[in-house]
Amino acid sequence: MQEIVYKNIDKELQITFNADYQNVNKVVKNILGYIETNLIPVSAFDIGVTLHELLVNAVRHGSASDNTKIVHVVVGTESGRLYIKVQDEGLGFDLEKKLCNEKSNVLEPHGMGLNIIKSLGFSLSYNRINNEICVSKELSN
Amino acid sequence: MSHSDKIIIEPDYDIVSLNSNDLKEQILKYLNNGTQQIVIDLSQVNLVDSTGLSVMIAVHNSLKRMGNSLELVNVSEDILKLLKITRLDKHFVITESVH
Repeated sequence: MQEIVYKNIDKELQITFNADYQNVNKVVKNILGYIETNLIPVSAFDIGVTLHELLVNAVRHGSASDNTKIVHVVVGTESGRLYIKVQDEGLGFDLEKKLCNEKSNVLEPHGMGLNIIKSLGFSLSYNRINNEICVSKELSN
Repeated sequence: MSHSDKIIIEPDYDIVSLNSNDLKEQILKYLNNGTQQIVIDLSQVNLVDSTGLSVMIAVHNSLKRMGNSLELVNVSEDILKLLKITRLDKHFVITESVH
């Protein structure tokens, strides 16, 4: 079960995929291609790392690595910013608590993904039940 | 293989969730055989995510118990930025080329 569905609607790339790590790699590659094709001025490295963090989190935690679960991704630009929304079927988590815990020890390899995203200059927001995260970043000139 | 061997590993793939376990298994074999110095050559690596960094941290922690550190060579500017963000540049040995 490795289906990935891409839709290009109203200057947005909408992707739905089964929660699987191989799909994560394919989706990241395709989003980077979309960004390059549409000449969106952002660092491919920053976007690549951020996508991996968000999508792996959605597969590992949001979907408990169950490949029958579905992950939704939306990528687009608005008002000079790039945004990425990722929604999974999980119950969500306490983002602030997670961020706080991740600062405790550099050599304790649990988490750190969200802190990396913030340090790369992305703003983070999430819905009420915390199963959808939206990150955005100002486009470079 | 003597205990003083320095092993240089050159992944030809991005060190992200899907591939990190392969790298971990490869390095674990060397550590279990008594290797005390591990060098990862990142010349062919474009991307590392937090799962990849976690593998590096685990390797570094194993080497640290033997009084050594993980050494990284041919680190791109982007990956160096990531190591600085996570402050891992203060723990790993980062050199331009293999000595």
